[in-house]
Amino acid sequence: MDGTRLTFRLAGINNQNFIMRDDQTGTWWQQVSGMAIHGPLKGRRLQLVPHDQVTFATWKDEQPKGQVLKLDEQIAKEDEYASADWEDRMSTRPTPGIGTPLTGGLEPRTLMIGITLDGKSGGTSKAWPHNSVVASGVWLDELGGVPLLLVTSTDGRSVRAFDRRADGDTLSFVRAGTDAHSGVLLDLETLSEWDFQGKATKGELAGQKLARVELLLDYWFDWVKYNPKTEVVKPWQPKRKPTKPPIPKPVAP
Amino acid sequence: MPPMPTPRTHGPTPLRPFALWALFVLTVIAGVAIIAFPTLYIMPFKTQDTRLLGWALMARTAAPTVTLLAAVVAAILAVLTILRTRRWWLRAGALLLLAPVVLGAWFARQNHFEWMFAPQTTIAHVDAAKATFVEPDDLVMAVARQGAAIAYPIRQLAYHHIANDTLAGHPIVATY
Repeated sequence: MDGTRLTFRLAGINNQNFIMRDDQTGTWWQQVSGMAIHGPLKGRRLQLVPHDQVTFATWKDEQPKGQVLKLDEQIAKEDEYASADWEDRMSTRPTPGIGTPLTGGLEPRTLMIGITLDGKSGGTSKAWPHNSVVASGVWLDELGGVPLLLVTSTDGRSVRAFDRRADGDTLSFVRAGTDAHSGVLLDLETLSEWDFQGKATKGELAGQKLARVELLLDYWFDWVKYNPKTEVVKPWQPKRKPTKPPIPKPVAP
Repeated sequence: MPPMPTPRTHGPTPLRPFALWALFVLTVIAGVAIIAFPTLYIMPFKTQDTRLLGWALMARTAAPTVTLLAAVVAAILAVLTILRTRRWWLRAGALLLLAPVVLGAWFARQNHFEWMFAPQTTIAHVDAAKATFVEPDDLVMAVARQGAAIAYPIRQLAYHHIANDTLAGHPIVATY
């Protein structure tokens, strides 16, 4: 920030989204937005570095020469690191009371895939339940005029989003076969094959690359707090059958 | 002619015992409140209001100075109290009253969130192939830039919450 290298410390919590403080200026920063909320740099924002949340196996395949953050030996010895079922345990924790009622009929702790796009008339946001997208394998959608592809990796857990336009054409994608995750990713327009990095590997469009769209995995209560105007996709619910069929009114002859 | 009052020989305007105690108690309350309010308000799994949170952060920012001043003033008042009385229980009371504000001045210089979640002492990396401590199914947060790629295992970041790191020469902070 302004040529100064800031180092951050965990320093508080705001409705279950943490606050950090930098050693250099003593400014307080909100984690999810990177926004300075109090102190000398109030109103400034840290630049978001594009990131990916994927399984280690998927990442290692793509980045065999990548580096992994080492364990802190002391913490590992004390067995303080989160267990593998950490996400499941967190899902039962209470959520903060939220000023505005939660819309969308979603549980506050539903894990969402959130996307915000900067448009001419400000940013537009949309959120999808992570579970629904993973179950579908491929999800075609649109936000602020941009056609989107949400795709689940063959690992059945990692999700990425792309702008599904190539060469000016909007493509529709499917996973061929009976499995939502392992089938080949095809576009219906040219039947080219695509990989999880958004690259066409075979077919007419081979060599083309879709533009990545940043997404954030976040709990619904937190996403809606920072994106109050968000559109939301509700998880699919089977419609209940009416208990009694409506009785047709007798029609006068 | 009435006799002249004998001039007092000590202290120009000595505080009355009641005023002394009142000032002492108020100093202690101020010194403790400025650290107790943000500490009790900014707690995990609780709801925070934006305005109150702003005040709490303001209090937390001012707390190191305010608690130190309060502790110094309270210490002076405690000494005065002890010197002015011969009753042992008043002397003990003065010391007991001093204790919380001294504790507050110490606590204002701590980061108790780092007691809960210790920061990683050294940020180091290992090659992807050698990272045997990560399971294939574990989620990582990954960044890449100019040929450099770093993965932050979520299970590690879920504890430390923060890693101050460098990616291709650029200072970054990974948070979870």
